[in-house]
Amino acid sequence: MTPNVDLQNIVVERLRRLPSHLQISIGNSSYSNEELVSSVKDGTKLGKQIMGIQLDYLQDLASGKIYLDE
Amino acid sequence: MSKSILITRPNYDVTTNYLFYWTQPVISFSEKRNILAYDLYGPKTTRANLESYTAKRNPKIIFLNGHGSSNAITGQDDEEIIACSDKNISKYKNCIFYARSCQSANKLGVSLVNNGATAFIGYRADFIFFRNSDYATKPRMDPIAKYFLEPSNLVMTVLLKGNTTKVADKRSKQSMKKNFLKLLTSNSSMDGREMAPYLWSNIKAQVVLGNKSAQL
Repeated sequence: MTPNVDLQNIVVERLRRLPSHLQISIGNSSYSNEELVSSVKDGTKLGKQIMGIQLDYLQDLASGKIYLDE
Repeated sequence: MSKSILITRPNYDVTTNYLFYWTQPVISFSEKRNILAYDLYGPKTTRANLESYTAKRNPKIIFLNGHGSSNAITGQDDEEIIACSDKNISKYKNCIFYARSCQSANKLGVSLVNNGATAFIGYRADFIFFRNSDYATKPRMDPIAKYFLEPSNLVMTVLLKGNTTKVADKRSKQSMKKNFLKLLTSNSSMDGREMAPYLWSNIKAQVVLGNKSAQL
């Protein structure tokens, strides 16, 4: 497995934990959880953006950056 | 001349509908402080109105809500109301901007500041928020959207209190961080924890360009 596939799987599993009544407004559109999962699986532009956000967050979580005051 | 602000808040899809209603507390706050708020709402959110009100009313702060890109911000029905390519962009000289829209700090904000705008608070990446679809007809009551939109309103209310752009940015980020940590706590619901990365993205994307000591 390449790291990208690993990350893709992690992101998909995290997205699946979101309840179905939640929608996200990002860019010029609003998306359901199912649409986000599909976009990540299909590697669309939106999917790559979601993966980037998750990767950035996981890195900052691991480094402890999220607990630092500005 | 009394101080005034200008607000744009289109309302034609679910995202702009939420921004439309969540801007109302800022207008109320402005009125309470006797600061005139020119409200370009819904179909009034046009390029012609934005330019006309800016020229005639000379607002000190312009609060833009709507869809955006690196180069432009739109009004009602996706009309581009302000863009890097505008020949007369220097007409916004001495204005402080807060743009609650995607990516506009990348180029539009830079262009405005380079052409005389005092400061620009905005986002280098997409401005993101979650919402609960059960609240589609009552966005202001949506407890999920509140995590994202209430801290962004703070940029404006802190500015309206006379604080600097630097302080407005800082207080807003502190509020986002507080909500972010709330979402991460063990008591938080699972859906809360999974929304945290997106609030973190907003925190990292929000910037102040130009004069960080500027105030109303």
